[in-house]
Amino acid sequence: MALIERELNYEPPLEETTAVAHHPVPTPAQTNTDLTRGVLQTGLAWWATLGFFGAVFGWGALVFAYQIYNGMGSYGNNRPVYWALPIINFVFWAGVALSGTMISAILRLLHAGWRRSLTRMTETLTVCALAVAGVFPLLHIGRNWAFYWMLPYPNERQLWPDYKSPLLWDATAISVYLITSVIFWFSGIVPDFATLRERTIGWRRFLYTVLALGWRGSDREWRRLKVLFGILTVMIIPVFVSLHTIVGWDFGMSIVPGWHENIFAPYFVCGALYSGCGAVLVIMYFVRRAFSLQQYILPQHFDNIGKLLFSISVLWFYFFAGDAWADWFSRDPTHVNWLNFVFGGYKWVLITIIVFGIFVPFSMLVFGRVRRNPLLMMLVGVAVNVAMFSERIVVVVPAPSRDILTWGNFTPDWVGLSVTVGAFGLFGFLYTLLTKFIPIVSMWEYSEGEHAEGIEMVGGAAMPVNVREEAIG
Amino acid sequence: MAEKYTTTTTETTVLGLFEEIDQAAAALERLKSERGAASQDLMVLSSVPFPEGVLEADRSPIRLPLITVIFAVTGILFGIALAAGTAQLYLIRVGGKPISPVPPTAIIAYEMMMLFALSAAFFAALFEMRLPSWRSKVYDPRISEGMIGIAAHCATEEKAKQAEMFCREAGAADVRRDARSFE
Repeated sequence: MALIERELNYEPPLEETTAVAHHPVPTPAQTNTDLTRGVLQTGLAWWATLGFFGAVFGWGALVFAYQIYNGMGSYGNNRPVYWALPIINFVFWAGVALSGTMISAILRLLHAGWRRSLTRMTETLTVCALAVAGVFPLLHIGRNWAFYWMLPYPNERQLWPDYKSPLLWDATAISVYLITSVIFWFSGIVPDFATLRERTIGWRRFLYTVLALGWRGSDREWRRLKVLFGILTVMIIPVFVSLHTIVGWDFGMSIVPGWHENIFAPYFVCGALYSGCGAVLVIMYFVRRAFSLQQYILPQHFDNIGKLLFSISVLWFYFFAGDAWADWFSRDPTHVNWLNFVFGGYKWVLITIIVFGIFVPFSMLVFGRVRRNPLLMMLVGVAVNVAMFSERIVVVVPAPSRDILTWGNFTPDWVGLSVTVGAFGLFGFLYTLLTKFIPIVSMWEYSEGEHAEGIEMVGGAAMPVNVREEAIG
Repeated sequence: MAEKYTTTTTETTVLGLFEEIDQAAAALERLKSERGAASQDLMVLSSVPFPEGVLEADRSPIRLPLITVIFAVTGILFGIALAAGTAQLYLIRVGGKPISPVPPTAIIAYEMMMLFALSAAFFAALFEMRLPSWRSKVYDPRISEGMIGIAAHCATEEKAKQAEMFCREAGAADVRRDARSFE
């Protein structure tokens, strides 16, 4: 409580409230020193964090081994709810993955100068969250060891993937998004690998020499990197929209009442943006604290992401309410039954969504003072993700719970819950590990911004000025 | 006229290191105008990109957009072949639907278009950047810490001395010769 009170009373100094630095512009060497500290110095806290997440992930992996031995029934998945925690987790983590690349791509496209401190950490968020999301369909298939049967290759069984199935569209979309996100992420790190190559010795130098690919920062290389980013930025936006459209169609293309909804494609995209933006706030807070990046990740960044989150929360509420409203007003018995079920047996899940997904963000994000407070924004990010995990439960579970022949509520058991917690451990483990090998704030982009920004006195007031990133005409 | 790139033992590279953009720009301009160096014999090295048109020696054409479009079309064709073509080879009849319906084929074609286009853009960019290349090349570690390098590839001793003079007169913090590969 004392911590929250202190944060609430925190008055940020002037230089922290604006994205334009009022402090002397750091040289690239100073920036490199600050931003490589997390990579080159390994403290006890990093090992403790890695060990904690590793232990949580290890527990989840052990329980998964137990599930393989005892079968899918141990998960709690049973007639008629065959899709439960594994698919809830899949949809949730795919959603978390969406906003990382989205924020980076859209801010690059708009040439927003304040993106420079955030792009690397959000892109890394996408890569780690997608890796976790990709695990769950494999966990879900039951006979996990035969996963390669899903791949299209000639075989003696004369089996071939059925491309009419939305599940195969899903597998294709997530694979494409993972590959293209890694390309997008790696392309931006190469110049920083070259800087690390010059600052390291021994095995690290060898590693960064290989990863830097021989980058020297020649004008030939920079020209092409800019063009490459122009192409990647424009083209990756429809890729991540397509991913969550197809995840929505996993449900929407079925004939199960409660799943067969036209609105699911845009609703899923919007929900993914919502949870992803919340996750970005959580990551920003912990990265800022863990690596002492208060000079680089400013309250203004939280403010800007907070505004984005607020607008997305309104849009998400529109889809959420619109979906329920159409079901209720149509008086279609199957849909009304589904609504009764949501308001009945799963009412606590629904209340969680309303409190954490609607009440908390709506009441907090309207205040600029709250948006500029990193701790409170992190808590809003957590609340949004609690709400969105609950929303995935409401989407996945109630609809099939009332089958024609079998009725049954889903109650998660310790196996499913352990694997779910293990997924958070895997995400934390991957992210913590990557922060040891890559600068979590892009050094070259930050230095580029420092070159391109300044302050001019206009009418007696200090106004931020920016150099355009492209020539006019 | 610019000296043609040769592999004789006399060739060397003069590397001027500058702290300020304007100094580097002045040296680059003199190397271009007075010495008449061709763009392939000059190179700007820096740890950050500059706005378009600033400190650019490279004039080589960039074909990434064209390559991206070509591979996007290839991806569409591949996607159609994968979803619709292979379905004709392995007949799976489901729910009275056609063997190769349009919607699933369009979705797979779209995903393959994106995969092919973005992957091709990445690999084509590496190819045009001449990366990966782990050979030892003209460079100075101070460039990654913020200095700007102007590298002039010189085929004769006279040209090298002239380039050194231009760099020093423009205000270079350091000028040195580098016998390693220019490109």
